[in-house]
Amino acid sequence: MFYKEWIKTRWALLLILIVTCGYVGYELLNFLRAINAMGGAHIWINMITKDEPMFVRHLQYVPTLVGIVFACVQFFPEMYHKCLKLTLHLPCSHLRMMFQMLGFGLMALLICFGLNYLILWLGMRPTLAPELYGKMLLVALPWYLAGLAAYLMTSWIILEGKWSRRIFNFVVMFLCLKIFFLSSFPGAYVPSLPFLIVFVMACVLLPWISIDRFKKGIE
Amino acid sequence: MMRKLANIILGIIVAMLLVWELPWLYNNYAVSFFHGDEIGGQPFTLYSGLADDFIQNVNSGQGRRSVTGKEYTVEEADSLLPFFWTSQLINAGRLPDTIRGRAVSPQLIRHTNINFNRRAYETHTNRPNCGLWILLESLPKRVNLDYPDDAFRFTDSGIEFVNMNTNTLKPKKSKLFTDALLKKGFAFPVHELDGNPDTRKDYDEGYLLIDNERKMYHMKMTAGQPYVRRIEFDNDTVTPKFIFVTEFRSRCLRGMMTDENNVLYAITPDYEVKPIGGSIHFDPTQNNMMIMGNMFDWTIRVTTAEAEEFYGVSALDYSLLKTFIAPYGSDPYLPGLHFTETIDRWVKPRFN
Repeated sequence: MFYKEWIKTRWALLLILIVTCGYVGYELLNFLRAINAMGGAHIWINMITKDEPMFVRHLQYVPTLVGIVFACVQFFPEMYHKCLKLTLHLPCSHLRMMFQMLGFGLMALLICFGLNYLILWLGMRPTLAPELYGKMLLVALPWYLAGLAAYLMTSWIILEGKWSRRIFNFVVMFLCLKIFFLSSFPGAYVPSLPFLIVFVMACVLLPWISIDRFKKGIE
Repeated sequence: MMRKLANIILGIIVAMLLVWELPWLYNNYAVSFFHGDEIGGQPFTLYSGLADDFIQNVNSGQGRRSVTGKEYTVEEADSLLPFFWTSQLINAGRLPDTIRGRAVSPQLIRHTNINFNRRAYETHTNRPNCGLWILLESLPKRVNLDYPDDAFRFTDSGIEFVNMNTNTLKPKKSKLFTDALLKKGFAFPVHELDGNPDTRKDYDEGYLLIDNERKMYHMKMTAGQPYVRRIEFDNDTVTPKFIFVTEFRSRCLRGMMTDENNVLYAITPDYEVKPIGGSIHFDPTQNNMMIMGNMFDWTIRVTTAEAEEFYGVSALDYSLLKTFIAPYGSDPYLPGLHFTETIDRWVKPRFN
């Protein structure tokens, strides 16, 4: 199953890696250029006195878009070429197969997002105090969690066979993702991170509703 | 089994979204339509020492009225609030030479007027804090204040200065300030601190600190050296909780503080701690406060969840002159799930 998913998504995965790391690299270049032009002290003072997501703000919707695109790449062919029907005829547990497909996607995104975090951390660590780069990494955390939620909920929408239900699913996804973008105040999401993580974990089960309806022939 | 669980999760998510979005839609769009005249706070209100009353701007700023119902013309109100409508009086050539027996000039009025705003979301417990602060040089060589090349953090056992250009510790300066604080009996870690590291202000008072034993201190940097002063008060009856630097142009105060019972105190220039207005209650975690004052009296507005409270307070001895409490009417807003609030900067689920 993992191999099948790898064959299907490897080019998309490479593209996503290049795009996200490119964005992070761009932010980091901006940061280093600002340090060189204005000096470390100027950047520190701005980061201490202003409550803005400096140097990561362009990343805001990138993980969400990446999650949606990856879900499309992974599950559109399944629905378009009716591969899902074949997959569900295999003598394996359907639930297990769904979890394997979603597990692959989540793992791919986690590697991609983890790499983004690593680049940001390595780039900012030499010039910023832990309090300051921690602030930037904390700002981006709900955005990356939104990427995971977007992936799971987009899978739920694509695997759904009925259009009216897809629209309902889309509205639910849109409103749920709104929660991740209510504030860009650095550290604002700290008390709700456990809630958001539980929410993302709960979303893993949503595609099962679509697959269950697909099995019943609701289209 | 798994299908049931997935549907339960979807049900919970949809219910959560409905409890969040429907009250939000009603509160943002329908309330102003159905209850337009019930919402909105008090008009702009100031205490007039000359009238010994609170005067409000009414009719979209075209009329003036006291809270006791007495109507004034705009010109009369200008004369009753000469410290606020100074430019208007100068323009009309009606600024008196003396007010309440004291000679005044536009320069003196500008120098002695105060303006202080404290919103609940500015309180450290109501917002994320990175834990780094900037200490300005309070006796700069040049006229203007300037940013230093270091920032500081409090640790469990001292204060650390970090060079912002090299991201390295400044051990000498850290030791100098830690020793100065310890010498005055400061108990680490710090409990609460407030400062205003802005170079556009007139002067710098550094930071007001509350230590781990709830003792208050004033710390600033003067010619590169630490200045630490213990603020003495009766620790048995007053336990400080929050502290605010004011840095008014006239230097009439060092700062303000509130205690565990949310009573508001003034810290005078000679470090005396005096209750403001007898015992005005201000909870910095829940209420907003605005102070507009002059050389004779202050108007303090405390906005709570239940009412807008206005206090006229003597600027000379902080005694209470007049009170006006304006409770809110019936609450037309629907309760629902919220993730953000105006009183803090946290995003977290809460039902109210």
